[in-house]
Amino acid sequence: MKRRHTLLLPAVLAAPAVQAQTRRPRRIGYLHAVTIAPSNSTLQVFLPLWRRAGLVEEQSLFLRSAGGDASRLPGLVEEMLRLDVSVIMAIGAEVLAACARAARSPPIVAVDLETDPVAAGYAESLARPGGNITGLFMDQPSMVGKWLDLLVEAAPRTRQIVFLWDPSTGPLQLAVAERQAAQRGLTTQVMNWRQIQDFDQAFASLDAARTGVMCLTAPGWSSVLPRLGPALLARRLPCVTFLSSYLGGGILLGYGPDQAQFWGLAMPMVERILAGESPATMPIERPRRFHFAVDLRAAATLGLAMPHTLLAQADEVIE
Amino acid sequence: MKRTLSLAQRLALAFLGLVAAVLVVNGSISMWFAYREATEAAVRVEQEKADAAAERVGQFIAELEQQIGWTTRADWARVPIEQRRYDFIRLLRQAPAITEALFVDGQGREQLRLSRLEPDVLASGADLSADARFRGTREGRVWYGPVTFRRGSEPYMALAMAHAGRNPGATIAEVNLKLIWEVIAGIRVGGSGYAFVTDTAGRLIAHPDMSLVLRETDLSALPQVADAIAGRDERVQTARTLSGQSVLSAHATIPRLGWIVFVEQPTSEALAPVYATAYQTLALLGLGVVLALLAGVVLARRLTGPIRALQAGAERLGQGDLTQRIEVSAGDEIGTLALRFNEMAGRIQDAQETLEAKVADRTRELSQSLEELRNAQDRLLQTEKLASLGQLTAGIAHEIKNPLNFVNNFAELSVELLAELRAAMEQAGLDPALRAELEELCAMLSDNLAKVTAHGKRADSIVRNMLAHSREGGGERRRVDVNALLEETLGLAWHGARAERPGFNVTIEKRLDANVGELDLFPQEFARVLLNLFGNAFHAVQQKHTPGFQPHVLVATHATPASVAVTIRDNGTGIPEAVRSHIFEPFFTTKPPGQGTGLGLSLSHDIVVQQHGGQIAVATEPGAWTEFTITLPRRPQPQDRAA
Repeated sequence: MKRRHTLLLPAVLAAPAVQAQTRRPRRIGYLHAVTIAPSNSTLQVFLPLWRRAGLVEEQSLFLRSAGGDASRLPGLVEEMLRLDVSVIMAIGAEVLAACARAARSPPIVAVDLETDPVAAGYAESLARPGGNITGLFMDQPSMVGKWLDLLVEAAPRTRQIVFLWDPSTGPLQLAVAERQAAQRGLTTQVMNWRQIQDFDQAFASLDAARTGVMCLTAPGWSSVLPRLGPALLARRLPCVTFLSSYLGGGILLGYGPDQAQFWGLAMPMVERILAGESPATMPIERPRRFHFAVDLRAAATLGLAMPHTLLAQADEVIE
Repeated sequence: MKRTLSLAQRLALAFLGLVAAVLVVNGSISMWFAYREATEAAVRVEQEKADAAAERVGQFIAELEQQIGWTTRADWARVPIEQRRYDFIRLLRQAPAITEALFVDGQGREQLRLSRLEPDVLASGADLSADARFRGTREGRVWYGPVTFRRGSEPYMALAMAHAGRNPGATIAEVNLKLIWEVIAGIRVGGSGYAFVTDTAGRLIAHPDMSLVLRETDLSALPQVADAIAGRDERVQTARTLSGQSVLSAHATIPRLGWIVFVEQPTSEALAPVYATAYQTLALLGLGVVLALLAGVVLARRLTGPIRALQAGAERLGQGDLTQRIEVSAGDEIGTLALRFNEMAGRIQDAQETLEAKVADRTRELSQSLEELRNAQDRLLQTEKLASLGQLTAGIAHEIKNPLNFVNNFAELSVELLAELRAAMEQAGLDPALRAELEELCAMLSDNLAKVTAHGKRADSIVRNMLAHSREGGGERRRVDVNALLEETLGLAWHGARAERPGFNVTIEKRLDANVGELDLFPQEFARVLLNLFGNAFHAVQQKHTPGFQPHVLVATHATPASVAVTIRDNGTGIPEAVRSHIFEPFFTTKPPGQGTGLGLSLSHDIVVQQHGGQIAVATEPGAWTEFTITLPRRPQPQDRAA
């Protein structure tokens, strides 16, 4: 019966009706606002997938990073066009915005935890984006409330929240976060982590016993971890972040989409676009599973006892 | 022209047809059974898979129910709120598909709400008494909400469960149905089959291709989905997918939910065993036909080979090749037939050979008789001719004899008269001159008369010879020793020849057969024949002047019980062809005039044939040799003819 398939296959490919399904050249662009260091948690997910797909850097796979400088993004998008990639994997709201602003662009598979693609006008609907942008979106600013509650539950004495924020992600999440904090009677402070070189120094003025740190979602977070974690531990600050994979270096809590599972959905989309499918009819994916991790070592360092209700929620406990 | 097939071809075809028919019938039947069996098996397998898939999806929901069930205990309404929250936390922890869990008390007030995305809400007291989810639990213990697609994309379903006890509250769970994907994607149906789930309206809830679900695909237009929704009995059918691929589709309904789980497998794959059987049967059929063909050809060859050999043999026999034998080793009927055939051929050959021998014998006898007849006729003709010539000659001689006697007598008388005249003249005393002249005249007359006398005598001799033709048995007939007669005559001839030509020399070879003995002959006559022949032979060798020529004459006798043959052979000039037929005619001679009368051989022929009843034959090679053969019968035949 396999023979029948192989006999049918060329006929199907040759049929005029499916002309639209012509394969695109196997050239993929990956555009990140901050980093393309292999240690980046996003790349940690993608690199094995690319390797398995047989993509070779600078031949069929082009990794580009703005290094945190948003002004370079339009130029990088241009470069992607020059490289004639068939699909751009745009990581983060800023990159997606830059791609969307470009006069023309190949299909885009976005990984964006901040933007509502419909509200931002990138897509007509989640089911049928209708344009050349599809991908993975979270766009649930209400998650901020979850993080606040978890942080407060872990460190009940918390009265002040420091938001580590990246302005490039837009103000929506921060606004919700400030509102939620206000509802809980918490004072807030916002820090643009992209501009902080020495977190220990930045945290110096904080009342550690009454302060919690919350990382709002942003691409390239992993680049800050080596500097942030020790500072948190040194200042005994409890911190909650949006990806459990960031834990282990000093951050106490991590709650968010199951990164490996969610990010992993991007490559099938890329492959389907390469196979000729249009992004316009490719539904936008939102997280299916969420993952909550608690770092008990960090808790011990901070001198915090985790309540059982918190531990009961944890999918992963780092001991 | 209608082409007739050979026996071998017909046999091979018959065999092939028989085997092929058997194979085709057998193959078709087994193929049909195999097809039915495989189809039924495929259908069974599909059904089982659909059942299993429905079971697993049902189990997915059942597990959710079971997890939710922990919160519906009768005493749960009385536990502290913190405990309830903890239970909900555990619920969310245990059931990842539940995105949101609510506890509504008996009055329909929301008491607790936990969400994966929202902050927890404790005792909000929101009135949900009119909410379908709450109302649903008033009718049955478990209520399944309709499938909704959040933001038009993500399938969700509310699952509400009434608590136990009096005036019970309810636990409401919002279930993210995307997680059924993990169940569905795990169901393997053959190599490329898959399972999917639709709700009661045919909208896709779960599919291995999540994007179809997220697009809120309505499959109610597909016949298999429509049939399933309509609740037709047939649970398995061939159908087409959205992309038009032909599939074997089976479905099963999940009890209570009413969802339909479909299991689809490409027809080609599901029916692969059928095709395999078909190919196998076809291959066997092909192999069988080929084998039958080979066997048919071999058998037909074996069968018709001897027949062909018979046919070829008969053909060659028909063309006259009687030595043809058929080699057939088979001991069957054909072998026997060939044996009989060979016997028949042998007999025909024998008969033919006998016949040929007989014909040859008869032909030889006939030609011999013909030859003899011809010889006899020739001899007869010759004899008749010679006889009439002899009579003529004798007649002439008889007529000439009297005048010739007168000539001879008067010539002798004239000589006597001349002598008287001469005596008278002497007495008359004539003038010497006149006397001399008269003397001269007398001498001349005397000479002339001598010539007349001499030639008269010669003429007389000729006439006597001619008269010999008509003479019957001159002299006496008596027993004569042939060999002795030969010796004597040969001596005479030899001396005669020597007398005639003193330098004459010839080698004479004698091969006389002692058995010849005595014969009843006319010795004078026969001696004459021999003298004649010897004379001829000596003459012939004298005529030949080839350098280095050795004259040679062979005289031989040969005795048989019935006859005696006398052969005289010389190696002289031979007799030319034109001359040979005339040699026995009277007056025919090749010698210069005056040297031969031309009567020798003619007379010899008369003597041998007519007087002795024998034969005289001549054989010659001109320029090389001449051979006369006289054959004399032992008992002289009665003389039936007068000369």
